[in-house]
Amino acid sequence: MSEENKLSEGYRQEAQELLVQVEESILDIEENPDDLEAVNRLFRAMHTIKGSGAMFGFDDIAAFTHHVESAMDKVREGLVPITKTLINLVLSSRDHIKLMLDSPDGIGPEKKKNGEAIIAALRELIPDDLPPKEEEMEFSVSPQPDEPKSNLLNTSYRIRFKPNENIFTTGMDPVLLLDELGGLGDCRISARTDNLPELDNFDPERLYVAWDITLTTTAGINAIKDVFIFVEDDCEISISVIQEHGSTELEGSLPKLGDILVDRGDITRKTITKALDRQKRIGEVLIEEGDVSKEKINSALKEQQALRTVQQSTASSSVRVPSDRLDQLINLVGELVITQASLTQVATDIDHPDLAGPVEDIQRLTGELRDNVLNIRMMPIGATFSKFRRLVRDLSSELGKEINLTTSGAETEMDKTILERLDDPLVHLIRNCIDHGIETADVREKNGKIAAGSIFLSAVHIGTNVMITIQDDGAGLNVENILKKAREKGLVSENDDLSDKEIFKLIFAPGFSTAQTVTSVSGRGVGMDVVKRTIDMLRGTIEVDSCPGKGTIITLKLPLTLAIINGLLVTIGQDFFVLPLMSVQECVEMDRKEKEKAKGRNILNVRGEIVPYIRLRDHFGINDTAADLEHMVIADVHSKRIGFVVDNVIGSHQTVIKTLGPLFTNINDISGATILGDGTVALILDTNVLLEKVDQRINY
Amino acid sequence: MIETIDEKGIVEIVHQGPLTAVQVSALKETLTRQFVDNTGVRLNFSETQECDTLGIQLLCVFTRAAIAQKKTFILKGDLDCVLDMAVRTGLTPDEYFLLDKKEN
Repeated sequence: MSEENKLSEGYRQEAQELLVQVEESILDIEENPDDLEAVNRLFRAMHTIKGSGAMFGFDDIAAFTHHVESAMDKVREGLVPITKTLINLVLSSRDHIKLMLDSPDGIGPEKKKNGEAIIAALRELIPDDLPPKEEEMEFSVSPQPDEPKSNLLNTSYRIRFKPNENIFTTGMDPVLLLDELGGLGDCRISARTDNLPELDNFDPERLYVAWDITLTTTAGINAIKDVFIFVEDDCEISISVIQEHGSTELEGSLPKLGDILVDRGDITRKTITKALDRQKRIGEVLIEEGDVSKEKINSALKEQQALRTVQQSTASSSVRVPSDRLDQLINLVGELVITQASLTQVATDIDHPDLAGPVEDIQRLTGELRDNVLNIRMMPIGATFSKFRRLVRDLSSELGKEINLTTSGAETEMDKTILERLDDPLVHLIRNCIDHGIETADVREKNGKIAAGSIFLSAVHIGTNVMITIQDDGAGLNVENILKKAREKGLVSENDDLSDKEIFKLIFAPGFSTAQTVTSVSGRGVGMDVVKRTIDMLRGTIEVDSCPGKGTIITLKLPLTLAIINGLLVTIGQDFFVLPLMSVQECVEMDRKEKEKAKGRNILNVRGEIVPYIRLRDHFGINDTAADLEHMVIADVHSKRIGFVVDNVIGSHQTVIKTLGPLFTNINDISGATILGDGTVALILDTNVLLEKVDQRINY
Repeated sequence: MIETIDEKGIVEIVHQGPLTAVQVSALKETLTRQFVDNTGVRLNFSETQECDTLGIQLLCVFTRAAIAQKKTFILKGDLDCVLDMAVRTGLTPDEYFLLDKKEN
């Protein structure tokens, strides 16, 4: 990828993230029009999308966003009230910007017209002849009109800014950034001219001056970072919190002179220590005077240290890393884990006492490294959840329903890949809740419910899995209707006696729908099977529970990551296989007599229940002679109990998954491989595909 | 650029136009030459309405050079835009520059 493409891609990614912020902020504003911070957040996001867009050549996005930014500025200044029309327009603008971001070759004429219509509507709502804003307020946070200024100044920052010497070649005068900082609050600027060269070596077109700035402001650190957004890659910028004035614990604890001098690099800590050593510390004086015990002094010092740590963590920063680099890192760690397992095996074989300690250390460190690297890919599910606020808002409005969405567990983390693939299934499930689940207000009221329906979306960690629940308080699933439709479609026979849970599972059959009418939202019977398939692909499970008149709960259980698998290691002849442990229910022995009882059919009587099975030896064409006593691993596949017959069950095995090379793209019943400690390859089985493959020819 | 020399050998230069990135190189050459030929320079900004950070930086460098070379370097004339820019860039003009405010 060329440097230019990298920059464009970087802008696109950042703008997409900012659009999430835009959507969240406007929905926050809709819920609470007095939320001034949300208005500022929205303005800043639009400002950054516009500014960066212009910088990276996305002129159409910059031009369009300018109108929305101007509108939000008027809102920020209190010149324009927040109305439903304005909120709808901002949401439409957000969608239009997203469309432009997603269309690298430009949008078509019809879409362009849509954009123009949005701008026209914004202009109509917020005419240009409204009193213009004051230029110096462009980057400032609007203060509450009747709040004393001193109450707003809650955090002091130390900003050290050394521009690139060639900054003027880009047409940027850093004084504009200093002015912008001045607009954020009480700003004290000191120029550092110590880098100015002698006249002979002085190039007048290079900038040698740097700045130390103390800014006291209510606008958070992001607002300060926003000021430097166009120059941050070329300049040395450090921003740190000096003091949080809003915190009563810290009030009055002004930084010491020595600390400031050391912080600024004017003298060393050693010099300060030397000077301080010549005088007694306040704690020592107090102890000597008998005013306070040593224990109390030590306790106070600990508290001081804790506060310092909190202050330092406030200014923590993050680094943006392309996800393919993380994938590469995970692959390398995977190799390391395999090599470490081989090393452990060799060390066990050699059995040398000096080797045991270091090998154990490597094993522990490798494990920690693996966990930490996998954690880097973990992202909170909150960003995914927040998208559904918009979905619920728009769809409920379209269908004339009043629906509240509540979420919990937004901080629950999952692998980025799983989160991305989870988007579509969750959208589908929530659309179904809105369209089919929750009744209209009048029907709800007739049934003694409150007019507004509710959807509860939650996520929680359970062991090495994440459980996501989508719960609504709607009409619930109609068991009779589902059964009737399933019989019509031949999914079940007239004589089948199914439990409610088994009937609910029928909704995941392809083309299944009980909806009387097909709407733009749902009802075509396309989707629930796709939801199921996607969850299966993610090695997850989906369960439905419903109570007529009370609502439906759909529970998704997903692994934390796709990079490692908790598997059950089994053998067939000399070959090793791994079955996903999540779906394994039990293991039973199967001797020759029981096979004979089945009279050639692949079924086994397990405590009175007939369980069909797949002989993996036959399926994979392994020619060794089977032992008299085999083992059957019973797993839940597509909501059926299916047995997988193997020679031996070794035990559970957590392993890093290695994908099969391109030569094996057509082999879809094996989802990957892993290398065991002795170098043996174990194939990881995809039980869902295995069942699909043998389902037609299996002789139950 | 108008030049006049007073009885102390200090040359007065009236800078024409802005004091920005575009002019700093030429002004550096002029000032350097005048520093060699004269006991000092009085730089008049009566004809200047625009100044940027590079302009201020140039004045800082020549103020230091003047001290090092035991020469005189005075800023003179309508200094509003220069002083404003100095303040905006975090400099206290009275501490950094020798100002001739008689004509202000």
